Amino acid sequence: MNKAWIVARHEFLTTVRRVWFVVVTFVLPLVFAGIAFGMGKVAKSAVDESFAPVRDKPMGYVDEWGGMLRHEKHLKFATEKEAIKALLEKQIGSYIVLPKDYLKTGEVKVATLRKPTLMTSRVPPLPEGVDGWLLDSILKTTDPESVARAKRPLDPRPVFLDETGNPSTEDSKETEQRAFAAYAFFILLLMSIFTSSAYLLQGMAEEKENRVLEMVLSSVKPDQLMLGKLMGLGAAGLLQMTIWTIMSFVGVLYSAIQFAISPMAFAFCFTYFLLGYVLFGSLMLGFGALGTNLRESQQMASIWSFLGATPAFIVIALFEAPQGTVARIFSYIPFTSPTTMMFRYVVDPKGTPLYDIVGSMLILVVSTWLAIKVSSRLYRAGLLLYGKRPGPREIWRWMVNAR
Amino acid sequence: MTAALDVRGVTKAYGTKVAVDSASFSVGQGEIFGLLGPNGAGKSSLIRMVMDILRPDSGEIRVLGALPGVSERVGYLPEERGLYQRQRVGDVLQFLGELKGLERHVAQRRVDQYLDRVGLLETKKKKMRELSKGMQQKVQIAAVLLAEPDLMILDEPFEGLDPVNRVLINDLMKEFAAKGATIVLSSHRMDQVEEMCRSVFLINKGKGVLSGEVREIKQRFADNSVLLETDRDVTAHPAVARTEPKGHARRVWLKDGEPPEKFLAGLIADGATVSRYERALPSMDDVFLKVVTGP
Repeated sequence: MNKAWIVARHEFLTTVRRVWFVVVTFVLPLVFAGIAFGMGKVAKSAVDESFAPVRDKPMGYVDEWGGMLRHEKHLKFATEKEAIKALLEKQIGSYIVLPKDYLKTGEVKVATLRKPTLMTSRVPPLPEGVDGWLLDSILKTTDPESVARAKRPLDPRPVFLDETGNPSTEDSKETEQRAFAAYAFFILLLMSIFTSSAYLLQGMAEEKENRVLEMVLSSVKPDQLMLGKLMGLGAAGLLQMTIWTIMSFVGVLYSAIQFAISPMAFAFCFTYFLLGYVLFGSLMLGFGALGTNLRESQQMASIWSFLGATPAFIVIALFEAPQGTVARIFSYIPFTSPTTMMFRYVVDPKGTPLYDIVGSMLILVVSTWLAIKVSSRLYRAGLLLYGKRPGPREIWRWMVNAR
Repeated sequence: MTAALDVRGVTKAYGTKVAVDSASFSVGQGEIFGLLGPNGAGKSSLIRMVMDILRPDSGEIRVLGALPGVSERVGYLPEERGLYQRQRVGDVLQFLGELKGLERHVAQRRVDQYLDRVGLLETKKKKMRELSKGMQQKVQIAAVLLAEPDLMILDEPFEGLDPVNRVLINDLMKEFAAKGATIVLSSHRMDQVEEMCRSVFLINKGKGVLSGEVREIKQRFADNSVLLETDRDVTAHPAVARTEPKGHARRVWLKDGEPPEKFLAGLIADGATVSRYERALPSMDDVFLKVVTGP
């Protein structure tokens, strides 16, 4: 059997049998979900409780403008002084003052006993329906149908035409689902790279600390060892990601895939997924091997994590213009092409040109091959380093020469 | 017959520091060979070049007739050694055995066999970190043995072992050598390996200072002394320069030019009872000191 497979099987089984792997895989998401749910509930009830005096009590209003219609719940005051008194006596939760020139300026004083907070410093809380009541008062001489239209002036029914002027066959629901699926795959690929690389680095640091490598390297070539680790720990990372995905996205992702992703697109995504993982995994292993402990290894490998996450900064551009210049540039950079191309293809499979696919794939394959070559040299040199961090000149020498 | 290991004019430098300087030696097949020298002499660098972990700056190495590289026929116990601490003993050995090209079922059988040979079969299910340092070392030796390699390179194999386990490993080495395996032992403790080795290569500060058969080297460096057990006091004997006790016997240094045979014949002619009389040979430690510091 190829030794890389033996290493892969050993790494995979060793990792998935660990108690911590099981705990992190199955218990941690539940703990996080529980915390997120609990905290969400607590936060919502805290906000509700804080807004309750304003929302539940009547609002006062001082109508210096003189055009306000009567309101069955809100209380009218002749002067602001009376409104303040009622607010202090908790008869009302807030009050507004409409000045004489309200129609001209639109300025309305809104007063509550609340202290300014992040959410309410610019727009103080008001009971529901105040906007509609003001509109009714302004347009009280207008017919009710026009008032209703003024309250909801735009109810869009979009129609997208193709180049021939006929309505496009793509419906907006499918587009939404495609975007959602693309985003889900995008996050999945990024998370896979980061979680799997954490296992890679941890395993490597452990081997260095245990000084087991010289013995192992007498039986297996460094590139086979690296490849085996990439496969075994990558598979463990993917297994974990799959379980997390099933646990978290089960309904949503399934429907997105069912509607938006063809088997061809899935194969396409998987290819980019694998190439991207091997590219980043090998670079992280190669550069991570240059650290003398786990912390240093993480530092040395972090540049690749950052590069891999770069497309996250242009995700809006990818949504809006999957065939635009920015998206195309990112498609030809090997560190960003796996996520970008996957995104473009899933969002807009018909619009993605074949030469972009072939070109970016070629660049990615060549880059991955180069990354494996360079990283295996660094990996070999770095693995036997004990207690001494190499300088840039030394690293360059290792990258160029085998030893 | 092709040498199991052939090292020719090998040099390795780290920056300006020359770790190994034109080392040359050859190890015959089925031989137990000693690579001896003090700490920092260059032994481990030399071994790492043999194992293709380092590449020499110049010179040539042949391992079982081939250039150094990953080989299933070569077993290696490095000086910087350890095993996966969080894994079970049996799993670690199984993995290392399969990496050496053993079929899965063969590896399983050999794991039991060699754990038993080093007296650790009951630890098979235990995690490595639960074992003492000495026990871990025996597991590492078992890891080398279970592939039953043609050539074993063992760097400081006795370091950290108690006398009982040292004897156990000694016996295993001899058994493998008797079956035709070649064993290269590296050690800074020359007394621990000299009695096992037929030939040695002594290295100091990167340079080979002596090589050849142990017996021949010792005879070459022997001084004019004998080990004598007799009922007579020979300290005042005209042929004797000085004596010192050595167990039940005495080591007797004869004056220059006094033949040992004549001294023995004289004692017997004088009616002395001689229960032990043999040519005293220096230890490899003595030889090494002589070579390095001069006579």
